[in-house]
Amino acid sequence: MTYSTTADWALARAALDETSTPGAGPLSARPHVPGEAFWLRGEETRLAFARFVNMARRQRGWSIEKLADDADIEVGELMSIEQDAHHEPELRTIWRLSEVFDVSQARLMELAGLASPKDTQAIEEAVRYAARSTAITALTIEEQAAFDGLVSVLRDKAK
Amino acid sequence: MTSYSVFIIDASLRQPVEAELLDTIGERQLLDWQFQWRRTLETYLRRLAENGVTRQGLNWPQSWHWDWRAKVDEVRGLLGHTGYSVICRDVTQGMMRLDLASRTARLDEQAGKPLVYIDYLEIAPWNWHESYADPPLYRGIGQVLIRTAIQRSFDEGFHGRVGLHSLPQAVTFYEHCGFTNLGTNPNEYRGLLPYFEITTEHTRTFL
Repeated sequence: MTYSTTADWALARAALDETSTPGAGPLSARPHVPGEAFWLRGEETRLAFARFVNMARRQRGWSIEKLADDADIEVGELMSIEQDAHHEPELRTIWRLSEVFDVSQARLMELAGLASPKDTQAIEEAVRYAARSTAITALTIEEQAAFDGLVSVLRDKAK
Repeated sequence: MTSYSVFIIDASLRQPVEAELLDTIGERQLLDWQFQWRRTLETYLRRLAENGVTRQGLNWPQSWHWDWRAKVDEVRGLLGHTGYSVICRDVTQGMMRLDLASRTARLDEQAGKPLVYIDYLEIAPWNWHESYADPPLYRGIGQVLIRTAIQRSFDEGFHGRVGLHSLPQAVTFYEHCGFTNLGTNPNEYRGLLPYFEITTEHTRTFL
């Protein structure tokens, strides 16, 4: 055995290299995306966008109708934004919302999935904040009453 | 410095091409790494970022890009260490560093016996199989390097015994090569890199 190899040996061994790349020791570390879980999907950021619009509106004590009037946006478009993660908002809507809520139009476009993020970390942070906000918001008395009603209907259906 | 004739596979033509195995990692290899490997890597990183993958999501040490050369320099010329590189069409395609002195085998049937430990093995980014990478240009570089480590182990009187810590995404490569996976240890590389070892018997498939 010598350190030299033949063309035949290379062909015979090549099949073993078909699917994975060798690498040993921490010096050789290379970017590793463990499955699809780490690819931030459009729906995720758009849910955060929806959450932002919803909270910014409620923080001001505005109804959807009031925001629609102030920002000159269709009521239907606003309802879709807040409630449907698949809804792709209009560019003009993003611009109007960024004006009314005084935030960066570029960042809002990224969150809404209309532009690829320049700063992915910021977008991930926004998603985390949005997730946290939904997790800790207690139901208002009215929401609780509506929720109780919903549960009772669902329980009846299960019978 | 000695040069050996080896063959790797041109991945698009599926044909063997002649390459050179050098028994060193020289300045030339470090320059290729610094200016060519990194350029391709940076293309891949931009691609990942455009798809919303952050560095935190990559399971990848952020300090890596600036301390790599220092780490390689610090062990160059150390007694008991040696390096090999594979060059094809005038560009370094893969590198490996061996520790010939300080490690012993862990598998039951050869525990405590001396072995060749691969403390670093890497191939050029344009040869990677990764979801974000372009189709690889060459294959079979890893096979040449592993065979070299085994040959060196025989030359040292270690009967072909070789050990290494694998990258998590390279596990199937070493399994296909006949290595035994001994798993991770929380005290080694933060428990991220599983340890692999090959016995004399299993090295025969490489000959």
